[in-house]
Amino acid sequence: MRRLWTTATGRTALACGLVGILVALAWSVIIPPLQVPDEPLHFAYVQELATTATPAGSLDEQPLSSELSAAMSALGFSRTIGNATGRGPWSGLEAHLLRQTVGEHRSASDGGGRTGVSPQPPAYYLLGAVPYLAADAAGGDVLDRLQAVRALSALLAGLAVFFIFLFIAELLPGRRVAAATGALAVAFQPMVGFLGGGVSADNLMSAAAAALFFGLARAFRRGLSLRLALGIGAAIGGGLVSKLTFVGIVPGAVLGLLILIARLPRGERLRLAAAAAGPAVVPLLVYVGLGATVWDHGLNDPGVAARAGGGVAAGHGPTMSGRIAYWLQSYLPRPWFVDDLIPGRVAAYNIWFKSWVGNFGWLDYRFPSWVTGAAIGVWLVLVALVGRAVVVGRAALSRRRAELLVYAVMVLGLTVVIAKPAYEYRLQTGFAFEQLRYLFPLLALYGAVVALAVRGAGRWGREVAVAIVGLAVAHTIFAAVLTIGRYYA
Amino acid sequence: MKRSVAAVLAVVLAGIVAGLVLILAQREPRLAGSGTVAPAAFIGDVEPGGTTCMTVAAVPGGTARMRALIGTYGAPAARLSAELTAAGRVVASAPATDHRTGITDFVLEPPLRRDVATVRVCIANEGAAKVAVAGAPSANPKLPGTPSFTWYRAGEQSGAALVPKVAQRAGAGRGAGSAWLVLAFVLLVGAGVGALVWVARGVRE
Repeated sequence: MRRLWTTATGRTALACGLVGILVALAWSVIIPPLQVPDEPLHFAYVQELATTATPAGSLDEQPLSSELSAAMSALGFSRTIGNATGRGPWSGLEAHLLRQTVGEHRSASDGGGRTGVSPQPPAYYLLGAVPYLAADAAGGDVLDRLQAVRALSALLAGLAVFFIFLFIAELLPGRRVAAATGALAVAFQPMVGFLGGGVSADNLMSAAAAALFFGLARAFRRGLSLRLALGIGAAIGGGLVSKLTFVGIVPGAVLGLLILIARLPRGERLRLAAAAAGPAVVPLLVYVGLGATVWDHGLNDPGVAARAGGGVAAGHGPTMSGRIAYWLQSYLPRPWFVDDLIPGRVAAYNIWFKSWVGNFGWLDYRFPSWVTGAAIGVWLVLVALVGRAVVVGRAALSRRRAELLVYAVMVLGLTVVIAKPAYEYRLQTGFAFEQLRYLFPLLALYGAVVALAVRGAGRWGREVAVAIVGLAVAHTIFAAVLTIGRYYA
Repeated sequence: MKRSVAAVLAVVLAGIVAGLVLILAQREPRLAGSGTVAPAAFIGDVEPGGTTCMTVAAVPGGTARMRALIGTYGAPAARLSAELTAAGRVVASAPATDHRTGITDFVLEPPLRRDVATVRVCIANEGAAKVAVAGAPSANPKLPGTPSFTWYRAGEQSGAALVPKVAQRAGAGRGAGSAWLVLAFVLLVGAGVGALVWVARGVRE
C-alpha cells in the first residue's frame, strides 16, 4: 500500500483512478434515477439484501418492493423508457407528487421476487447494501439510497481505471504517458462512465477483471510471487461472485496461472498453486453453501425464465452449428459459408461499434449517425498506429507470446459466454441481446490498445496522447449533453 | 510544455468549446413536458364526425402545441380539431384545420400558462374520411390503446435559453435541488480539462 504513495507509478495510478471516480460520480447525478439498463432490478436486489439479508429470487414474492414501485410510478418510469419524448417529473405538480410519494412510508422489504438479475451472485449487492443502509440510517428516502449505491458503482469504476493503469504499466513498461492515456481513455469512454454512474453488478465485475489482468501482467513480467498468487486468486474469486459472465475469462486466467506456475522451481509450485486456488474458490464455495442452506439461491437459479416458462419456439431450437455460426458473426464479418443469423453483413459493427460510440439510457438514445462515421475515422488512425507499434516491437511481443495467448483465451472465453445466451435470446425473440457492457471485463485490453497507439506514434507520442484523451473527454462531455437533452430538454 | 503539444491541447479545447457553443445556440421547438407514450403503432380510427378522447394525468404549463401522429389513408389531408377540458371547462382548443398525414401539431388557444391536472384530450374528425391515430396498443385487444400526445412550447428556443429550466427539471426529477446537475456537469468538464492538461504536461506530478 505504501508503495502507491512513494512511487510515481503508484501515484499516477491513484490519479487515474480518482479521475475515473469523478467522471462516474458526475454521470451518477446526470442520469435520472433508474435510467441505466436494468437499474430497478439491480437496486431491488440491493434493497432485498439490505432489508431482509436474503438475495432476490424468491418465487413467492413480487419482484419490486412497494416503495420502489411507487417511486417508479411517480418518476414516470414507464412513459420515459423507449419513448423519445417521454420525460420524468418536470412540472411543479409532478415534482410535488414525487416528493410526497418518496416521503410516505411504504414497505421496502416486500420485494425480492425473481427478475432478470436475480440469478446473479450477490457480491455487488452485498457491497451495495452498505451505502444503502448508511443512507437509510441518515434518513434518506429511496432516491437518496439509490444515489448512495450509485456512488459505490462510481468507486468501483475508479478502481477499474486504477487497475487498468497498473496493467498497462506492466504490459508496456517505460512510458507512463502511454499507460495514463490508456487508462484515461477508459475513464472517459462515455458508456463506461454511464454504467459507472448507475446501479449495476457489471461495475464490480469490471473492477475484478481489471485487477485480474493487472495481476497476470505483473506475474508474467516479474514472476509469480505468493502475494501475486493470492491477488490473482482473489480477483478470480471476487469476479466469480460478482456476475456470472465473469466465468468467461476464467479459463484464460487459469491457463495463465498454469504457465506461471510451470516457470517456478518445483518446490514452489504446489504452495503458490494453493495460494491462488484458495481465494479463487472460497467465495464461490461460500456463496454456493449459503445458497443451498440458508438462502435457497444458487448457481442454478433460473431467474424470470422459470416464471415465464421461457424456452425457444418449437422447431427453432438452438443447435451446435447455430451456436458456432452465431458466435462467429457476432464478432467478425460473416463468412460466406455461415447462415445469416444476425441482420447486416458486419453484425459486430452494429452490435459493438455503434454501442461503443454510445447507446444510452434503456438503449433508447444515441448520437447522430455522423458521429459513428467520424469514430470510424479515428479508429482507422488508431489501428494504423497500433500496427506500427506492433511492427516496431515485434521482437518484444514474440518473447511474450505465452502472455498474449493467455489474454487471447480470456477474450475468446468471454465472447463464447456472451454469444450463448445471445443466440438463444435471438431465436426466442428475434431481438438483440448483446450490450457493450458485457465486454467490460476486457476494458484493460481496450486501454492497452490505446496505449499501444501512443507508443506507435513514436516521437509524436505526447501529441497523440493529448489528442486521444481530448477526443475521449469530448466524447464524454457531448454524451453528457446528449443525456441532459434526452431527459431534461 | 512543447509547442506542438500545446497546439494539440488548444485545438482540442477549442473544439469542445465550439461544440458546446453550437449546441447552446441551436434554436428548435422544445418540449413543455413529457409525452404520453411512444407512437409505436396506429391504435384506432376516428370516423368522419367522430371523436377520440383520453384523460391524461396532467398537461404541463407552457404548452402551446399538442403533437400527434395521424394517418389519413392516402387522403392529402384530414380536417381535425382538438379540445382540452379539465374540471368541466375547456382549458384550450385547436380549431378545425387541415392536417397532413404523419406528425402533426395542434396549435392550442390559449397556451396553458400553468400545469393543469386531469385533462380530457379529445380529437374530433371534421372531415369526410376516417383518420388513424398512433399510440401504444393495449395488451388486451378488447381495450383501446393509449394515444400518443406530446406537449410543445410556443415557437423555438435556443439551448442557452433553456439552461435554467434544465437545471430546475433535473432537480424536480430526483426530488432534489436544481444545483446538482450544474455541479455534476462542471465536475465532468473539470475532470476532463484537468486530465488533458495533466497528459499534456507528461503526467508530471
